Amino acid sequence: MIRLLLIFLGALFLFSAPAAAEVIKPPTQNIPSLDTDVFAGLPVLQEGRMKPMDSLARIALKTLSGRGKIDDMSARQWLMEVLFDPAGAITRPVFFVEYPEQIGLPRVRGRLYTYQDVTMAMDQRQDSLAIAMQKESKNWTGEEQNLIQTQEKILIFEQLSHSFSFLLPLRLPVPQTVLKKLDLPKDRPITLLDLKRHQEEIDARAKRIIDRKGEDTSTYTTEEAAFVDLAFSLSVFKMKGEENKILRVIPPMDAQKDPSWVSPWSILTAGTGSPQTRALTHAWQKAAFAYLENDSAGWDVAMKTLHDLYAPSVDSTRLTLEIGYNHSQPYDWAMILYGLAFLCFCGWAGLRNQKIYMAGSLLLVIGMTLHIGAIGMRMFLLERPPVGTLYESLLFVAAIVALIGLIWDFKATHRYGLFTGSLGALILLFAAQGFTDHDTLKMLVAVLNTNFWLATHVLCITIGYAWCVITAITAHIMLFKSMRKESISHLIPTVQVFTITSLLFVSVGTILGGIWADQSWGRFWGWDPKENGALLIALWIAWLLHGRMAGLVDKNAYLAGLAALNILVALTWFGVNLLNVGLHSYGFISGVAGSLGVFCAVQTGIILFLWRGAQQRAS
Amino acid sequence: MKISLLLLGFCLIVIAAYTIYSEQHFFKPNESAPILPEDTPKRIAGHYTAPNFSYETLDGKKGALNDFQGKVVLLNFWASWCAPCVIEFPQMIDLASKKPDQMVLLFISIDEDRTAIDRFLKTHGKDLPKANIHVIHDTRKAIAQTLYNTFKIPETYIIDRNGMIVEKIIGADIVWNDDAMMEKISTLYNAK
Repeated sequence: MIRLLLIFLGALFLFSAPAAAEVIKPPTQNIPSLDTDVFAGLPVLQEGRMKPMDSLARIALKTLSGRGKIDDMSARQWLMEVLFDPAGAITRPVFFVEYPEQIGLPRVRGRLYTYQDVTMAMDQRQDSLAIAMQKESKNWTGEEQNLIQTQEKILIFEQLSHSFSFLLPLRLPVPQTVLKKLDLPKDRPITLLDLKRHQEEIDARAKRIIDRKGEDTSTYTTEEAAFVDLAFSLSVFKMKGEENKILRVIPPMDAQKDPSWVSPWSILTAGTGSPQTRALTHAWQKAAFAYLENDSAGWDVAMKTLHDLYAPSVDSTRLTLEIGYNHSQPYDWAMILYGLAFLCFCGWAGLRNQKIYMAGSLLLVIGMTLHIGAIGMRMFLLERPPVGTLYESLLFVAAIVALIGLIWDFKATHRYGLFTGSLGALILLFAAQGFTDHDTLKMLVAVLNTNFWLATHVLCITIGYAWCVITAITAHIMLFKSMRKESISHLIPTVQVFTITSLLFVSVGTILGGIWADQSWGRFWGWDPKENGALLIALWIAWLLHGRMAGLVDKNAYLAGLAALNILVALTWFGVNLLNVGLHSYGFISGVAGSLGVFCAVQTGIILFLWRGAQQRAS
Repeated sequence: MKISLLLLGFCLIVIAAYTIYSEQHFFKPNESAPILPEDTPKRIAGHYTAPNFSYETLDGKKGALNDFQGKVVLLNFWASWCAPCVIEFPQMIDLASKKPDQMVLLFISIDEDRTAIDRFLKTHGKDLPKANIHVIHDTRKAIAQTLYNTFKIPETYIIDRNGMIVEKIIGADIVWNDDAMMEKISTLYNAK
């Protein structure tokens, strides 16, 4: 038994280890040594929710690079560079391109490229991109998908880097004569905001120059070329500014009239400016200049000012908690603790040392506490039940599995609660790791954004999944013990309770889902793949129970059928989301077919092996 | 089992304590003086004070926004080249004419050229001058852009008799001299 467990563990940790770290040489740009804590806590509205800048930084960096850190910079430091020093940020390799050859980039270690690299490459592929954008996403080829993803990343980066462009020093040479003529500041860099006051005059002069001399800039004097450049820059900035909506850090003047936060550029383009926004833009500009000069004192003052200006408009407790949630990585810790608890079980199984078992129980308790605490925090931040996305459902089901295992461990004299709870939760949290890229603590799609049904139907179904997982693992244990000709009579009542409880939750959850569907979509049942999957689980359990009661299914076949619940739950939970059809297609995912296939194949193999072994022993 | 329950309780207490501690101690900025610009609006009961400014009207009279405490002020930013301003200009003059004791109207032009303003007023400001209407040329856009962050025009701030900004209206989508606005001005004037 120990040998098998050790082999399994080895396989588990082999697949769970991160891919071999690909060393990326940091560029030579200096990273300003400024305090990032206050910046991280400043509010921004994104994806329909107020969140701290820390979350935006993490999400943006993860989206572009697939990493949490880049070149020894934290996500916050990277975002600060993008916002305040875009000229530096465009030279930092941050764009991850999975298949660089497809867009004409040379393959480099890490497959990280700079903004300049990807835009130059994408410039050559505008025709292919245009064709791809006219197709539906399900008809994209692999190359087109790569093009679209790269283009989306470019847009995100451009939006972020232009967020404060009108406050930053313009990198344009302006002759002194022009400075004097326009009465611009001479003691500091000129910003677009300085030029805005003279826009009429600049445009008028540029128009006169072009009318008089044409568009051939070689005939212009230095001063004339400067005016035309300025006019052109203003128009380009204005065009980019009108599209700039990503960094919504400007609170509304009258929240009761319109609670929407807007981007800084909307002050110039949409009339959202006010005396309050002036104070904010002034402080942001001070922050930007302090960043560029690496002036930590100036930076701290600017951050303090921004903190005070935002204080009346935001709930700082929520922002602070979210930063803590981002940093504490509770699910990783829970997974480690579950793994250690499982190891303790293995140690106890081999050595029969009670203290090792106690340690395992305690580790399971701590892991579960962290896990449930993190889910609770998530609920507080999102103000809804914790099962709105696939990732959240994995976290929730894992927590329920750990809880059931713990309760079983407390109530029973045998030790399978620890085994079941720790192993089940570990596997589910491990599976959840594959979906963290999609976890942006986002708001829900409209059909899910009804708390009553989210709390009833979805919770019920996911609790049902948790019971099915527990039932399946217990059935595996019983088949294994049967294979070794050990008695399982003490487990039969337990597995019956588990089975019936699974059936209860899955059936009630399915019916509640029908009621919700009737209210949302106008029909109780539409043979949607998700609905079919839930029904399949209920029918499978019912068939097994009735078959066993009627004597049509022998004990080992019954246990094998229960063990197969793992496969059914996986197919229902993840498999149907691959289809992208039906009204449940808001949950569409791609790229998990391979892993799902491997899981189903391995599970089938294990079940057949255990069943055959048990049958042979029985005969 | 008892030990496990005790440990569970201990873990919950630790997590709660960490949460409270981090909320109180983390991410607090240094205690340094903020760098707010002059006349940064103060927030009182959900509204902001209107930043004060000094001005000189087209006919050379000097004044300041705070001179009009006790009356409702309409602070309108406009320009001669602004098409919606053509619509709202006479409406606002009519409104101010009907409420001479209750309100003051400040027209702040961001035109760069004074002659454009004069040309505009010749056509659309025939009823001027009025005692409670002042036309101001904001040559450097110091009031419009620097103080009030106004970049799209027309924009109008409604300021109550205590100097608090009550509302900001962007564009010329409302009828300024209708009964609803008259009522609003009276209500603001009569409020304490």
